[in-house]
Formats: sequence, structure tokens, C-alpha cells
Amino acid sequence: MSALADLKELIQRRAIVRHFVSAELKSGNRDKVLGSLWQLIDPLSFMLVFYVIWSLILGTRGPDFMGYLLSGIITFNFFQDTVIGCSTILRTQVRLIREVYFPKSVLPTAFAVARLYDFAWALGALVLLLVYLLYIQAHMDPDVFMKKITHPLSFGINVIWLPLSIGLLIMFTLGAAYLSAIVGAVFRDTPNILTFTFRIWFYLSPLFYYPEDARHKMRKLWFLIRINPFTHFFRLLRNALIYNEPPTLNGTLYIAALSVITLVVGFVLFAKYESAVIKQL
Amino acid sequence: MRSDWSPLPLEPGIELQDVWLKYRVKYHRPRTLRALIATGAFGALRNGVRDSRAEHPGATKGTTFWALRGINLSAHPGDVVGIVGSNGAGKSTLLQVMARIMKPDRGRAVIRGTIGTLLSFGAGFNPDLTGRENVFLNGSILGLSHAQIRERLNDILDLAEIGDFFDAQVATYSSGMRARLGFAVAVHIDPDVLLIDEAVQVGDAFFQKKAGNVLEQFRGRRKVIAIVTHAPHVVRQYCTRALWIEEGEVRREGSPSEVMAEYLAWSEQRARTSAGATEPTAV
Repeated sequence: MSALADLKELIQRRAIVRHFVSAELKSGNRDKVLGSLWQLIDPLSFMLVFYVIWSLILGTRGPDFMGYLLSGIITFNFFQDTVIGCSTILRTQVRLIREVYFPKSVLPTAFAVARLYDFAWALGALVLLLVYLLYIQAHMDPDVFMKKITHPLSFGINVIWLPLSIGLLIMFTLGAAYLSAIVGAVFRDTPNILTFTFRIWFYLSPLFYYPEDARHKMRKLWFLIRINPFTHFFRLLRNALIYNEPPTLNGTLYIAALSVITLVVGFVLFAKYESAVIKQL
Repeated sequence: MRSDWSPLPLEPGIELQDVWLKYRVKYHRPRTLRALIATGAFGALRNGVRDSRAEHPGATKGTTFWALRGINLSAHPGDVVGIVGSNGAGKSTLLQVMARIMKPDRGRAVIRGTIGTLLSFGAGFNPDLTGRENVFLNGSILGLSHAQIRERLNDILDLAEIGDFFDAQVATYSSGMRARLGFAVAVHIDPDVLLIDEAVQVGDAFFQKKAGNVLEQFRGRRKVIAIVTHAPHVVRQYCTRALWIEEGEVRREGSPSEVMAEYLAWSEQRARTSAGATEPTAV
């Protein structure tokens, strides 16, 4: 009941969210020589490091692997940056919270939207890379193609599933953001625990390996990889954008249910404990 | 509890009914390695537990502290309520309840209309943003639309008197500039209820005069104002009523001159006894 009232208030006062988002973005990139360009450079450089390292360790990978890497990195980074940032957000804004009343759910919401803006830039970088890789692929010698390209890139009609994949990712991230904000306000250890958790989560997500390889080579971890929502978030996004494949039914239903549950539970818990928590910030 | 002499049969802007509010207080007691070695580990632990129990019965790690204990108040448009009391009496907490920042644990707090708050004087400004950007951010938090803020931008700049610094990052402001900008924003959102903590002691004399004028204007426009202050002349000069609270309870409520006379007499008495207690040989 109080969660519904909170939701209504958040929607009524969405103008504040907009202002917080622009404040967050402005203060983040102010006085940087390259400014917002970093939103492109960051994920691309991260991807290139991984590409070079995995090519050295596992032997040369085809250029298609770059698209595979980048699509995973931007998805995971959006989630990780939002959740870790939100774990301290009530505490960093405590002066404002003590100065004036506003719905506290604005803070994690705005932070997530600001990271969504970063995500949009990164997605733009991915599209540019994709165009380049498709061009390389098309002009490759057929023999070399057969040898080097393990998962040919393709762009087509299945891109209509892209909004679904991003929509579910946003819901899941937002729910986790509310949870992280409220838990982080109560337990100061939350950022430390999250950093550790994300380190493990990163390796359990098929970001730089293919799930079918993991199935055979990492049998003991396969169960964890299979229930990891990012396995399915990655697949949904990659199928839509870089492989032109329809979504898998089970995986999509699984993350759809998980996203709805996370969002509802996250917001309800946030609304329930918000007023108790601000006393002890 | 309606004030009978309230000039208009309006609903009260601030209505507090038996408001209680508690905090959890955590104790952080040092346990140094040296102490452990000196007394032996087990002895120190046993003594530590016994000591803290003796000081705070029933609680070794923390305790509940009631900052407000059954406060009643109703303030109508046109009222300027001065809130006085010694340090830690619960004045600021009371303002935070009025601002809806804190929810009472017991009782009811109804605030009608828009609320302007000056509780920490611009401390909530984002230091990475410029003054102008902060005005837009704060204005929107306080309930104004983008267009409304733009309309008032010049008036805000006039009152704040920060000149070109308006477009510099707030991190570069002096505390006085920050306070003036916070004040200018809070009064220009034209709130129905204005809450001020220690308002009139901020800024230089000229600014104090301006702030006083603003208070006069507000009273004329039938707003509800509550001010927490330590300055007796502020209560006498601007307030229509005074509220003296001590240890979270209302000690006395009534006309500013009566309440202030009693409060000041009490403070003086207390200062004298505590001075006597700390320096018994000097008398």
C-alpha cells in the first residue's frame, strides 16, 4: 500500500528525476578534455584488452569475437555500475535528504537512468563496431572466413527484439538498484560485498567465452552459468543485434519473470524501509 | 488544539498531534590491544561488558533515544512560530518532522501546502554543479517547473548577491555565499510553509537585514513560518508565537515575550548552577 503511494509520488515528481540525471551526467564529465567521448572509449578499450589477451591465450579469435565481447561488456557494465553506485547513493546524498523532502526513490532511479545514458552511448559504439565488422566479414576471403569466423555476424529483422532485451535489462537493473540502495544504507559493508560478488559474477557470465564451450569444459559450473540471468540477457541481446536470430523461449521467459519479480520486490522493500533508514544515515 | 486568536478560519498549515520520534544510538567503545594485554584478554572483555551495562542499563551495543516526546502544535497561515530550547532539545528534529523529512514513530504530522526548507543552508547543493545548475535542481526538488524557475532566476540572483559566481561550481563558494543562495532559492519558490533553522545568524549584517525583510513579507502574505533560533531578538521581533522545547517536550508555548522571558531566566539559572558545579572553589 505504501509502495503504491510511493510509486504514484515518484511518477508525479518525475521532473526531479530528469534534473538529477542531468546533474549526475554533468558532474561526471565536467572538466574532462574528452568529455562524453569517454562513454565510447571506455567500453571499446575494455573490449580490445580482452580481445588481445584472449587471442594470445586461446589462439587467434576472429573479428566476430569483438562483437561478442563488446555486447556482453556493455550489458554487464550497465548493471554493475548502477548497482554498485546505488549502494552508497543515500549516504552520499544525505545532506540533501536532511535538507528537503522528496521521494527518496528518485535517487536510485535517476542514477540508473544516468547509467542508461552511458549504456546508450556504449550501444552506439557497438553498432559502429558492428558495421565495421560486417564490412570486414563481407570482404573476407572465403577460405579465411571458414577458418577464422566461428560465429558469423549478421544483422536483420530480428533486431525487433532489441527493445525487449533492453527493456528487461532495465527492469532487472532498476529493481536491483532499489535493493542495493536500501541494503547499502543499512549495512556499510554492502559496496565491499558487491565488489566481491561482481568479480565472481563476471566470470560466471558468458562474456568472453561461449556458453556451449562452458557446458563441456566447465561442467561443475554449468549449473551456475545456466541460472545466471546474464547468460540469457546476453543471448537475447546478441541474437537480436549481432546474430539476427529469434530469441529463445525458455531463456526469455526466465529473465522476464526474474526482471518483474526483482523490480517489484526491490521497489516494495525500498518503500517499506526508506523512512526508517534515513534516520540512521 | 486551535489557537483561538487565529485571524482566519483556515485549516492549520502545520498540525502536529502527539508526535514522538526516536533514534537508535550506537556506541562505539574503543577496545585497544594494549588494554587487552594489560588486563588480560578475558578480564578486559568481562569488564567491558560490565562497564557498559552499568552506564547504560540493558544495552551494550546501542539504545533507543526519544528525540521528540509527544509534541502538539498547530500553526495557521500568518503564524510565525519561533522555536527555542537548549542544544539537543529536539528543535532541529522537530523542524525535520515539519518538513516531512522524518516520519514520526507515533502520532500524526499533517503539513498542508508546499514546503520551503532552510535547514542546512545550501549544504545539499551539489558541489560539482554551478550555482545556476543547483538552482534548477533544488527548485525542481522543491516543486517548481523549469519555466517557473527561469522566471525567478533574476530575483534569486538579486537576493543571493553572488554575482559572477553564479556560473562557477558551488565547490568554490564561501559558506556565506552558499547560505545566501540556499536562502534565495527557498524563499523564491513561494512556499505555503517556510521552515528555517538558525536562519538569521547566517551571512553579514546586510544580508541579515534582507532576510528580515523577507520574513516580514512572508508574514504579510499569510504563510506559516517556523524558525529555530538561539537569538532572542529574532523571536521578539519577527515571531507571533514562541515554543520552548526541552528534552523533546514542550516546556512552554505562548506569546514571544512571555516564553522568551521564562526561557532566558531558566537558561541563566542553568548556566549559573553548572558554572558553580564545575568550579566549586572559585565561589
